[in-house]
Amino acid sequence: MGLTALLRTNDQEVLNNLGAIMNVWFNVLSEVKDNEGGEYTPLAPKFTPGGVLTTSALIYWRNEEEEEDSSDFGGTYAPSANDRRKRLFLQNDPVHTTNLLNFMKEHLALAQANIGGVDNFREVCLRNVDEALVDQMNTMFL
Amino acid sequence: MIVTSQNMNILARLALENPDLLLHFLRSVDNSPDIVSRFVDKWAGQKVSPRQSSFH
Repeated sequence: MGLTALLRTNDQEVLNNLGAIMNVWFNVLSEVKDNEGGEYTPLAPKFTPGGVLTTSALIYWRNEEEEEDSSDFGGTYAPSANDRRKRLFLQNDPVHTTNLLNFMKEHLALAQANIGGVDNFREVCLRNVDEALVDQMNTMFL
Repeated sequence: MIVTSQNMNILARLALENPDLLLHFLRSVDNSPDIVSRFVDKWAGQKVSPRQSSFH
């Protein structure tokens, strides 16, 4: 997400490295797909007019099992009020509330708009990017 | 500039909040003309996954 956010700067050096950034996108999205979308049940399901908001690893959150604290004696204990506050705080973090695919798409569209349209973007920024990678990303973004 | 996984997490957070400030920071600590390119290249070259790319 941090790397992707750099596209907001419209900095030429960043745009020159778009291929490297797209490589990261591809690796991350491929890994999510390999994990069957990483579907999980959120700790605090969000209700929308259409029903419960479904989530996937594209909005990353740790497994509930990892949240259970264990003692030195091998047992487990319920999370403290501080643990719950911390968990709630982390759940509101952009890392856990932003859909990664949409985030990438939005930043790509923004970079295209900043540079003067899709054609200009393709000519200026994608000229050094492997065509196969661009095709693969187009497939991912569909 | 030495970029470790620990300070990379902080820089990633800064990038998310204010990417212009991150670039300004990079250029202020290292005046080589390709600092941003090298930084992005190094960052992108790290093995990342959704899990590893989180900030925790």
